[in-house]
Amino acid sequence: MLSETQSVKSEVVTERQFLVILRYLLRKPSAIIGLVVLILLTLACIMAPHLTPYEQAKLSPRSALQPPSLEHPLGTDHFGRDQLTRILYGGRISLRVSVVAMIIGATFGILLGASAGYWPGWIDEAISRFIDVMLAFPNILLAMVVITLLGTGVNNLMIALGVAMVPGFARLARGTVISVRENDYVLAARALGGASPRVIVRHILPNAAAPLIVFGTLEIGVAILASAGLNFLGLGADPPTPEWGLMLAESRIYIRRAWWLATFPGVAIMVMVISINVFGDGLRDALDPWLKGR
Amino acid sequence: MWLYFRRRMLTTIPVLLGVSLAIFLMLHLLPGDPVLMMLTEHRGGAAPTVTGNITQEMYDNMRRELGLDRPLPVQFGNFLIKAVQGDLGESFRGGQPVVDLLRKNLPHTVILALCGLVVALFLGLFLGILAALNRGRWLDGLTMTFAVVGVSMPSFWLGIMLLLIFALYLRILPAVGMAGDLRSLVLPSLALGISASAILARLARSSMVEVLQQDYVRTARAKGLRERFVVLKHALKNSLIPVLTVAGLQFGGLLSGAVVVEVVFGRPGIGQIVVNAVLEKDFPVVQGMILFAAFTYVLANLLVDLSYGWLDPRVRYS
Repeated sequence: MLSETQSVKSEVVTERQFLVILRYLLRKPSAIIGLVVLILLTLACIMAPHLTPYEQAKLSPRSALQPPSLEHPLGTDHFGRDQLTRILYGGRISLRVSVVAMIIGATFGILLGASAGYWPGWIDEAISRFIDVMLAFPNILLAMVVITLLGTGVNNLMIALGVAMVPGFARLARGTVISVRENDYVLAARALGGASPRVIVRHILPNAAAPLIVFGTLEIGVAILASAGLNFLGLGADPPTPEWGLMLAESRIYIRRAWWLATFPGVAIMVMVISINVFGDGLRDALDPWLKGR
Repeated sequence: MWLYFRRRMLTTIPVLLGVSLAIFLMLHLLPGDPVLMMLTEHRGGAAPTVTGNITQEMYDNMRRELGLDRPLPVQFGNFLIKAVQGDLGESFRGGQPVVDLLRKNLPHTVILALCGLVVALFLGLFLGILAALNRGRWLDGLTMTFAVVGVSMPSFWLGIMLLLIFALYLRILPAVGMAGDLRSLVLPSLALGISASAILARLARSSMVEVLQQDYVRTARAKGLRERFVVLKHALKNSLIPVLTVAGLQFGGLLSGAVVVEVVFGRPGIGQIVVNAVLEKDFPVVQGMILFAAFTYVLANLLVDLSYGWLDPRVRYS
């Protein structure tokens, strides 16, 4: 009974929090622009088949390597494929890879970090040392180890990037959980005999969520950049796939004749990541009352 | 200072041991049988399956030769002893000692990453100070916009763009060059450094803004010191700590970035080698490269920590 009233109350609070956050967010024009660009880009990528008259995989050698024109706003590649179409299709892959990788990283990272923060003593000690060691590996190189074991391909790339994100999430989750752990409502929930996993999931994580949400948003951008790098090296998607990093790798042979092939996939990455970063920064500022309160 | 130095060194050793253990475990507990890999390689086969006339006896002999029949802790001990003696095993493909590969190629990558770090530090500090001194004005806005764009750009793409502009259209700098030619380092270092400078610029700005409000800065100004002197001598040194901390953390990113950027510019380094090793599942090579990258990264951060003692005497005694 008691836990029921409590959960109703906490939902009301969350709703009010949400409105406050939204109001803060609306006051920051850069965050709005970031969010709008991000939504438009995402929609454009999802709707790609309906937006463009071209098929991304159709080869038309006669119109190969054409510079940007009204017909092909971003030019065509060495097989005569429309580059704008390929970039839109590539966005789907980038978004899927980065979001799934972020979710993998967040799930395992938060699980590890929250456990470490909740159980001081040897559990914390063991997990913290593990995180320290993981953090010593630069993220792309850590992903490379995973790819060595699993092989290339889009799915393995997601896992590799996700694994590389685990230590970052874990460290942040541990810190925020420690700062929330000693609050009265957590002590109360524990005193009432709440099982530990339940206390962590229902009482601690919601109150430690703000910094994790901001971090997760920004990590999507980091994942897009890292995934582009790995794909550029040929450790991700296989050649006919319209992946941004892979497109940049393929463009290098034609760099003297076709500047547009080397330029626009990078612009797409940049615009996508800028919009994510600007939105994430705005979100951080909007959540600041909560972040600062700790 | 010596005490601080020693304490900091001692905390580094467990991390380095942990790093070695993690890499060791990754390769020994996860799927993929190195013995089969080596045997199929010796027979010239590509796929790691037992084909042709690999007998159980050959397999067992190879296992014993590699010490893989020993218990794991013993194997790890042997691995450590050998690693300390400079033996990291041999490449599955070609049988070259991994240490030789590293000695030949890693320095190029580390030098590129260091040059990138220098560019990032100078550019980041310059822009950060500029923004802090012009807080709220257009110059501030411009620098901070640059900072957002900078972190959102893949450094290898920036490298391609610099190549396109400076090497192919303006023809000022060479597109590819020998390792000894310093001019060939300019574009790759810029590509790496500009992306990394963005975060440092933001940090330097906020750190500088905070320091400029301190009493000792007011005192320095009240003494009648010239503004340039106040900023560069009094404020800069005190605002450096957070910037250096993050610069140390960024060194890992710079190492990863250098691996990709050197492929763009066709420079020598571990980039192409590690990529091939990953594709061919050449475990010893991947292991050696990653081990050294992680060690370099940990040592870079150790250096940063030690520099705190120089920047802020209070750190030495705490």
